Amino acid sequence: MENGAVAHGRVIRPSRIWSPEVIEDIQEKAEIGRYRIRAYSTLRRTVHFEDLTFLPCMLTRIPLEGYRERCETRTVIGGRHGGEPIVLETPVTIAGMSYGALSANAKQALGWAAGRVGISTTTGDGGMRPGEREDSDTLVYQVLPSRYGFDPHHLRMADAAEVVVGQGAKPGTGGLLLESKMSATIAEARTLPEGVDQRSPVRHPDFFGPDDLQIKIEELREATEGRIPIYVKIGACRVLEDVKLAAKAGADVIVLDGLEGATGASPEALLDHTGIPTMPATVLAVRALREEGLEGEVNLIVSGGIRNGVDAAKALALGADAVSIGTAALIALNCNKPVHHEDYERLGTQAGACHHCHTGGCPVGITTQDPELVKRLPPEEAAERVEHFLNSMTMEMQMMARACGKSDVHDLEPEDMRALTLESSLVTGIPFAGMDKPLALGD
Amino acid sequence: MAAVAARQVEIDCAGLPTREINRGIRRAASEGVPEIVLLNPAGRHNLCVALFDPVTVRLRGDAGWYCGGMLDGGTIVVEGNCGWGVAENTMSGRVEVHGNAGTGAGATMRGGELYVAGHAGSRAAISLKGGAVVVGGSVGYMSGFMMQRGSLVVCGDAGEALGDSMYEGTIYVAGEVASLGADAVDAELEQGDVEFLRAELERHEIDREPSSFRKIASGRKLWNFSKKEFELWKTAL
Repeated sequence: MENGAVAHGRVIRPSRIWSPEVIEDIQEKAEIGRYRIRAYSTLRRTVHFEDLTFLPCMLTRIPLEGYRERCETRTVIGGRHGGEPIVLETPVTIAGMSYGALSANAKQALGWAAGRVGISTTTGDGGMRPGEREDSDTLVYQVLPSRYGFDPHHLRMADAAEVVVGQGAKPGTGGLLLESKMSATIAEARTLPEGVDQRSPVRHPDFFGPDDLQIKIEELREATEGRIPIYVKIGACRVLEDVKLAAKAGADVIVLDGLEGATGASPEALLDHTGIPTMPATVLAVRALREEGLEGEVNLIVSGGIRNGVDAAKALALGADAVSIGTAALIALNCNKPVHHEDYERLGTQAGACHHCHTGGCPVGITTQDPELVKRLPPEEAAERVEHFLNSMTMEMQMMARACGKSDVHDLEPEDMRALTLESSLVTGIPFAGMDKPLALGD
Repeated sequence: MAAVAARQVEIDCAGLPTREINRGIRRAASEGVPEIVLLNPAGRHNLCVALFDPVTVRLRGDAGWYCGGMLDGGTIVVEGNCGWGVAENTMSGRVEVHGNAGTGAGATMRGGELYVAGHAGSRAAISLKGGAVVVGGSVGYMSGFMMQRGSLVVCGDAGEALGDSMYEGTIYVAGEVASLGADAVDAELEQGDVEFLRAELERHEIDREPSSFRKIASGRKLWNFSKKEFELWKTAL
């Protein structure tokens, strides 16, 4: 409904408060009798890496040859406490997504693609899928509040463990897996009755605060004889304090998931109204580690809304060691591909705007347990697409670094960028385009 | 000729890093030593973690947090008290605590048995996925929270919100229950329950009449959302 449109000789004046979206929202809740649930991430526009631009070299700095000169992307993380560090050939990881939220074919394709590119994948709620270890050269094993399917033998087989304190999509609340995806196989793996709406706990069963977490991390080190790095994943909330506490508790790597972080199912209110965006969260996390003298010792992976190598390069320039992607990898698999239009319509959506992972009816076989739909995602072809996409991310990161005169993507720094919006300048401390010093309230 | 393993090995924890204690246990167990005695555990955290060998470890004193965590196959006897998360995520095997246990005793166990002779703190058998937790005394609030399978036997009293949001599994209580949690309901004690309880009580020499126990199970109303049961969901969420 366009404001100012004319119908039957009269101007239509829709309310900005009671917009068509708000009206639809209220009437939907009046029907279903609860909060709305959907997948993906927030639909809001947030302050984002999009709002920054790089300043390539001219006469003040000398660029590297864009298509030729060597630009290092190798990233080594997790060595803080003497475990075998994780080596990423490019500073990207595949975020934790469960077998259950994703189909077996999707998990397999992600594992294969990551292995070919030389990066890690991550398990999810429900533990390690049969074959997941073999599918993934470098595998991070999540320790989640639910502990669904948690197996110490799998922990020992992993290359790193990730204690999940929270996530960006729904910080402060546990996971969801609705009835339609709770197949007999998934239910058995999680020791749950088939067909229930799984609402995972948010608190861990055996620790609560940072001092407890420290002992839990020590337990994981005992279980693995200190061989593997321990990550701690947090949603971006009180980032400055939470990062300091995670580091103090003994994390080798902190995974920071911003507001734009996605999920297979969440109350919509949490997606849109909790946490802070990834870009300002990155700035705060880097500051927290710097204030504690732990920059470079505790590694930082940021996630949430990373769409390409340029976003990744900007995150690195702000001080992250690597980025983690979930949604972008699923889109590379085929998520929202304009095929099987009738199945998108059946879900009440269309290709390009589908965020219906929670329904289990994924038209392209990624977020479903329906065997017929899963067949639409042949793992080999899907893996190849993700591999290609990951390679494009690497090339885009290198492109930005070379243009800025850097022979290692990790040498990118805030000084290599300018802000395109006042907000992004304020939250990053990077000068607004056309200005030579950062904006600060009170200036 | 293969060397004959010692029948028992003693490890004095005093002055040893935890990593060395646990390595010593694993080494002795892998060499076929059937019983290992830990002297001076002194409330140390993370003892006997992720022990996968069929060995008996006897702790002569108190243990800290996560004693026997992630156990698979062995037997751990604590001749004292335990901190939080004793026997957490046990796959199989048995943990005995002769004293009291802290919060989260037997949390997320998938199999095996935890026996606490004294009392257990809050959240005993939280998210239990299998096996049995038997407590000679009482348990604190939110015990059996989000239980999925297995059994919790409480020979004393149970604190508030017992069995809150349990999916499945069974809770037996001999004493008073302060309150049941959301969707935890009374169920009829059947012959199979009585036989299970009798066996557990005899094994632990607990003088209680099996038929006197109250049985609590899931009401299964939280399995799937219903807009007609908002009052239940309001508290469950």
